[in-house]
Amino acid sequence: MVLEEVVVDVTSQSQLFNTLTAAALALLSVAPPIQAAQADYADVNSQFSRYEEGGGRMKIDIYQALALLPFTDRLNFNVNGVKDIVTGASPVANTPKLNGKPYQMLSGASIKDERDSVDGTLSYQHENGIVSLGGGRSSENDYESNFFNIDSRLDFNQKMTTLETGYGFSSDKVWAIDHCPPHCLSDNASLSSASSETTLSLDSNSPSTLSETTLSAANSDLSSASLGTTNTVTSTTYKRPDVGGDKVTHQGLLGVTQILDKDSLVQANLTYTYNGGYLSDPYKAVYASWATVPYPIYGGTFIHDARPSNRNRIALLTRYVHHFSALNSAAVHIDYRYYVDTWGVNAHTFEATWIQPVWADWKISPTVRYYSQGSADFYQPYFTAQRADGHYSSDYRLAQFGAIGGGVQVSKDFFERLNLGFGIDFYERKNNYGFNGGSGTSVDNFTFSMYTAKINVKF
Amino acid sequence: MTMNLCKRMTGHIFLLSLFCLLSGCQTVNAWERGNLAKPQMALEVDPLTSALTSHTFSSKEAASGGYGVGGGGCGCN
Repeated sequence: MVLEEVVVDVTSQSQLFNTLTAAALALLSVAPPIQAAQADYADVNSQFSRYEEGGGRMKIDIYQALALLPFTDRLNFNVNGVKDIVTGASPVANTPKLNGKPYQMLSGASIKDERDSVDGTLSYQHENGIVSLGGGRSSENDYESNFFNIDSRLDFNQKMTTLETGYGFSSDKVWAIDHCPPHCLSDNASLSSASSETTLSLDSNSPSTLSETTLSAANSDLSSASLGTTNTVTSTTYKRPDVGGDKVTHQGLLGVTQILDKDSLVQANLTYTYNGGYLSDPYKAVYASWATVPYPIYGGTFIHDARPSNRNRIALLTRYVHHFSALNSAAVHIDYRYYVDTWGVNAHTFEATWIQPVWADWKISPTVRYYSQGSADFYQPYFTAQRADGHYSSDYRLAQFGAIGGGVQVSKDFFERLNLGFGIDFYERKNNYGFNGGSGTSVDNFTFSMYTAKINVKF
Repeated sequence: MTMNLCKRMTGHIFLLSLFCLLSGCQTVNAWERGNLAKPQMALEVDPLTSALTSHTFSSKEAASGGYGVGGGGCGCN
């Protein structure tokens, strides 16, 4: 209501019009995710990023694209696509050495996976806020996720305050593609006849080309299936029958954004998340000194990663943004998040970003981040005693640790329609960086760096 | 027991935040909101980078959430 009156009353006074248009847009900025979608032009963003872990572990090339399309004054649509190309190695389990310290087992530099994700959101702006409905799908050669969400933002208190509520649902399937055990390899090597319907690629670097049906058939009845082979048999992959399953996620959001004064605003969000179903990692194994049944592929004294079948998670996020007129309109963003879940994990995240406009439409944005988490109740680097609840995990992400990170983004506007930018980010995780309690080990320490190039075009 | 305590603390912190937000804030008229409208003041300055970093950290750390609802899981290792 206020927005319409302001715009209509000042159309004949250009200077005042510009000022009040900016003010009117500011009214909308209380609901930031929708801010860009409310523009009267199409906005296309695209970026390429390379993620690299230290020690030659994981490398991921990430391609992203986001289009914001205004259908009418009130109705907007955005579509978002992501493609990840993953190669490298990942930790599988730890074993105790003679001195009792753990030794980390990696998967070998044989992982190659691709993730394709696409989602869309339709947003409608009414008199007192915005309603959004979104949905999408993400698929990998060993994971599939379908999801939707609904979100509402209501402005009140002279549009100084926005109340946000949201709900999200996700239905996922997870399984594992792994190297064949020895009997599988020998069976494959003896097969020579080819069939276009059931050809099984033996190139371990392209498991994503295998269909689930083909892999299941190869796994369940490999000796009788009519499988083709390449000329050089080095290794093959199959869908493991011993791990995987379905899981669901329900998520709720309650948030408040408040304008504090003409230069600052604050936001507080509370999210509750329920995960149910198969929540273990099908690729992780756990050293268990009492185990007697050889674990697939690795053999020896290992058991499956086994986590509870449900998880309740709470995150409280507070964000503060302040504008500095005396510093060429610089802005500072300060975030703090507290997290706790029913697996016994609690975590603190601190992040600060300074956005500094400089000469000739250049912007420089340095960021610093600190993270600390406690370990899950059922995490140990390796296990020498059985647990009553039967839950075990040595996943490095459930350990106690801390991490410091930082980076800088640089961008420049051209002709008010084009923006080019690039960024560099670094991250270092160490078990002694954290202050939360629990179990952790230095063998899980690692670093990563990320390089990004981006382009934004307005039509 | 610990979990219930944490839930209560979280609730109290959130209610306290709401109280702080809704009281003692000076009225900012529409024509005074030019600074708040600047791109660098948006809570999500760069949606793609925000999505990327959020996905990366939730793949490498146990904590996630707080920034919104939506999005699916992944088999990230």
